[in-house]
Amino acid sequence: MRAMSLLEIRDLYVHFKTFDGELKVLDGVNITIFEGEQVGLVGESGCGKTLTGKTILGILPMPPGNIPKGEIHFLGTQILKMPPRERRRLSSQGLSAIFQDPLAALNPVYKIGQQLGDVLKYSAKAKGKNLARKEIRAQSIALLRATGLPDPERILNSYPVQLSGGMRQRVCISEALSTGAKLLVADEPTTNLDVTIQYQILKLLNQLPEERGASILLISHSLGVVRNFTERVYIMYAGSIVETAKTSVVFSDPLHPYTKGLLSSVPQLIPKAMSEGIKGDVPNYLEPPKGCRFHPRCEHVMPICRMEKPVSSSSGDNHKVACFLYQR
Amino acid sequence: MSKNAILTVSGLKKTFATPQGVVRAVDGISFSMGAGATFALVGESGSGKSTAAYTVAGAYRPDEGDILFRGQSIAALRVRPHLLKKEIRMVFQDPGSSLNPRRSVRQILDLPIKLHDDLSRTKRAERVTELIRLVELAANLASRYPHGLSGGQKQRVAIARALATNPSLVILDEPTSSLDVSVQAKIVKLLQELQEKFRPAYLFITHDIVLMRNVASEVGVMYMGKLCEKASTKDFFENTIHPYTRMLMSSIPVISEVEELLIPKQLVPKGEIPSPIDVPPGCSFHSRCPMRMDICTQVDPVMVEIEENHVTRCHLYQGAKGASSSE
Repeated sequence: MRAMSLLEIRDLYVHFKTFDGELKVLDGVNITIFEGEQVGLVGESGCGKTLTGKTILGILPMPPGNIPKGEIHFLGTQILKMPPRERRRLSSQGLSAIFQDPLAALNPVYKIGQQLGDVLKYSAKAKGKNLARKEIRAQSIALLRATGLPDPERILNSYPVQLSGGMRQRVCISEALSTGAKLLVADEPTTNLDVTIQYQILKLLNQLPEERGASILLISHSLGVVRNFTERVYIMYAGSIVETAKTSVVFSDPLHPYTKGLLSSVPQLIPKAMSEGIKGDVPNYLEPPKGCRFHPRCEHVMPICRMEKPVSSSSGDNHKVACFLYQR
Repeated sequence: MSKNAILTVSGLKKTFATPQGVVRAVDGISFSMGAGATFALVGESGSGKSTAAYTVAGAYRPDEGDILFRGQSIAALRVRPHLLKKEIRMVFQDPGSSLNPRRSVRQILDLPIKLHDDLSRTKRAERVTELIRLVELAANLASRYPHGLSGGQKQRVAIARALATNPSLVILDEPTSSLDVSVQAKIVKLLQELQEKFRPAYLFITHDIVLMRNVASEVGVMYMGKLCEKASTKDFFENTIHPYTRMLMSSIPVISEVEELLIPKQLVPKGEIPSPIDVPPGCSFHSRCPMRMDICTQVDPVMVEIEENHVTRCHLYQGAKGASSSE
């Protein structure tokens, strides 16, 4: 089984300094990803999902961001304390990312062949190898073909604007896979795409890393996407993880009121009346609610919820929930 | 088409000339909706659903075909009469850009009333207060500007603005696609409650086919400017026929096992929507269709009625019951 944890985030806090005061966004996040695992991270917009992804990748602008507390262990090393140069080397080999908008992720003035070739060239260089032009081209073609792109030779010779959204995202996936990364952070990779394309891209993201032995952190606001394409899921609300378990367990037996609320908000193919959604909005991070950050929106709020922050407690089968309703 | 139809669109075509060639954005669609009903136009991006909506709303004049509103043709009008603008209203996808950033909520809601109703200043103020209450916004938001509102609140203002004149047809162009699920649920619920109260008909443009299961009374699926299947919601979801519709359905990331049983399994989504400039000959879907036959690459199928109120445009069903063209 997977004993070795690839990435471990322990009690991570991320704050932002602004003119209005300090935004306390991440509030003690704990996430563990094992080798070869496909993990989902879900929540509404403004919950800190993308921020978590950026902190892992080390692309968070600091300042204004700062990390008052917390650790991120990747391949057994604490990467937050590393000197920048070393960290870059480690993440250039071990970490990759796919972003929401592939048009913004690709450089508009270089051909795909140039961009993909550069990634291959410099990641080989970092490993002390020099690739000949022919090898780069052959590898690029193989990568593009692996992502199901027809006519890779033509694509290498195209600019990003000449491709469709789905094709661009496939190019981004091949770039992300080209370095032989151990962990792929996919931040809303299909939000801009149509459902039929979304299905194909997610299928690809499910297969390719597995073939190459990589893990995936799939960040999404869509519960359906996460249910169909991950093995384990973290539900995030207002900067903390409120519930985590195997994906099938969370969807068949959700515990946290926030998870329940989210699930009931999703329209379904079964005829029924539309649900009410969850009342209220994601809190303001300048002065987040005391105690459990979900309490102003919670239907089951108790006096203790307003005072203390619930800790994550196990309710069996690796199902953890941070809610006083389940604390014993 | 039924007598009490509020909107009847027949053979509607709208093309755009571009330097690369002519884009047939809407290529002959026909549908009809009753008063107080919700008709959903579903499709991927580039299928022409928004162009169809804009043409009905009067932003474009159709090249061909007719639009009947309460039995009267409004397709050829160069300028729509004042009264018509009061009756057909629209809610756009992005409330951030459809609300004037320099007007307060009160001013935004006051304008349509001022233009369309002959009311005194105090009566108008009362009406604005009532509208704000109807869309469940806090009364103190009236003096705010759009930038001070959340996405869901802005969309509520946009809905209030559309309903300010008591319209009989509201065109909703992806009203919830920029919102979170929990907010989407609230907005859709609100739209349904308002429909119950004031009975406007909704022309709902969306890419989210699941949402329509519980909202629409009739669903039409568009692909490359044409309708490929149209049925009442129940029929549509219980007996999905067209290969494209089934491909759409099987792409849905569902959230429960019960739903999984409802989606077609044998159709794996593949390919992408072709360029609208060189539309494939014959059936425009044939390049992606797993059930393609020889005829599909040559002849464009016509709409046939499969059962009452359920039409589809596919060669697999051309010989079906009463293959009379309804187009």
